[in-house]
Amino acid sequence: MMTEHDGLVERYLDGRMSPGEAAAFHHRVASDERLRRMLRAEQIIRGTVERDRRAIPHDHARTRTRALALVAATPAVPQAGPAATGWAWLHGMKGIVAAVAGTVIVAGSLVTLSGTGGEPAPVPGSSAPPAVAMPHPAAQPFPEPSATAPAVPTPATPEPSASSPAPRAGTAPVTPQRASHRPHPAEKPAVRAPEPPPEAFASETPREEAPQVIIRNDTLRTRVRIETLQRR
Amino acid sequence: MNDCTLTLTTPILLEQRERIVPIAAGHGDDAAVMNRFLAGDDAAFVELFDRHNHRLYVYCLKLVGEPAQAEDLTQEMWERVIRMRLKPQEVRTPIAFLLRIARNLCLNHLKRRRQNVSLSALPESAYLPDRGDERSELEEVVHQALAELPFDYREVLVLNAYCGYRYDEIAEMIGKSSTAVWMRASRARARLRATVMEMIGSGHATDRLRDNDQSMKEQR
Repeated sequence: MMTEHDGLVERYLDGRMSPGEAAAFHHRVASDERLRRMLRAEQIIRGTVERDRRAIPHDHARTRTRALALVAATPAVPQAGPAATGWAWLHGMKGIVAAVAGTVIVAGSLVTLSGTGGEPAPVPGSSAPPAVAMPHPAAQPFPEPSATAPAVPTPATPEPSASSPAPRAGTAPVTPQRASHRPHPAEKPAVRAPEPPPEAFASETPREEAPQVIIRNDTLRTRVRIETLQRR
Repeated sequence: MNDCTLTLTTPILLEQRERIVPIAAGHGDDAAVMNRFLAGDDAAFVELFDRHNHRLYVYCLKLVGEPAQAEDLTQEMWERVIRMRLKPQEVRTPIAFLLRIARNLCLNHLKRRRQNVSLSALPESAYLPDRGDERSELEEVVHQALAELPFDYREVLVLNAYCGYRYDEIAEMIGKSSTAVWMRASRARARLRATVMEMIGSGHATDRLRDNDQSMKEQR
């Protein structure tokens, strides 16, 4: 806690006393032991601080070098905001623009899905090739299957047999299905992609490569098993 | 103790005060320099560094106590300032901004050391510049007393006596009124004085230093 003596000592040492006040202070110091000690303590403190301050080195070359290197490696970010590019009005409405864009995208998706029944409609007359399973890279080291290897059965149109009734003229061929099966209204018949001409198949993937499709389950066990079978 | 002989000489603070005040003067355009630096002017950084680095280093040194740590903390402070280039923000009073960073770094450092902020647990040699046997016993006493002050008091004393900032500048830096800062500094000085007086009067200074030296030897 500051006392009167503290104030006097600080004023004296700060040089804020008039000559008359200073003379009175000198007399007081001569007769007051406590004030004398206080003055001496303050002189010691100030002298110590000053010497200590001078002793602190001013050499900050290392800090300076590091800082300057970092400055050189840190370019300023260009302050090219929306105002600078003339799109400030758009910047202010970016929330609305985002909302409108999102609505348009969602609505467009809904319209597309409802119009095609959930799947993209085939373009009439197009001769898009069917999806062909590419051989898995892991199947490449295996030898090609022989001609006697059983081919994967491909869906084919059933030939009319004697037991099956021949379609009447003017009626569409009936796909084999149970008579009791009545399709659910929500269940829509799968749209089959139009069959490409035989030349397209011939030019794309030969049927002999079909077993490679099996190898797509490329677990080690499957590979070993297939390899063993082929050796036999 | 012969050192306690009273001498009523010319106040030493007059010379000191006159020399300190101009150090802090003339930095009114700090904000402009800072803005130039943030805009990409590397020369502005050099200007900012030369103006403030030493005093901020002294601030860290007197609060943390170790020259190497103080240098690291000052370095880290500048790194944070430099990184501001990537996310520029408005800085109205750069010195207050710099001091705030340095202060937080010092406090974090002290916390990491799990140490009381009064630094009383530090070995005395850690917060003094190495000057051999030049220091008298009384100077040792002053340093010990300064180190035992509470953080807030010591901070104000360091900023004023060591860094050379005026009380109004300190008030702006630490976000207090000038009166509050002046009061804090006066109380800090009074407390420091009381400690030194007690040691002078009772002759404990020599005993205390001897005890301290003994404990340090035992720690080693």
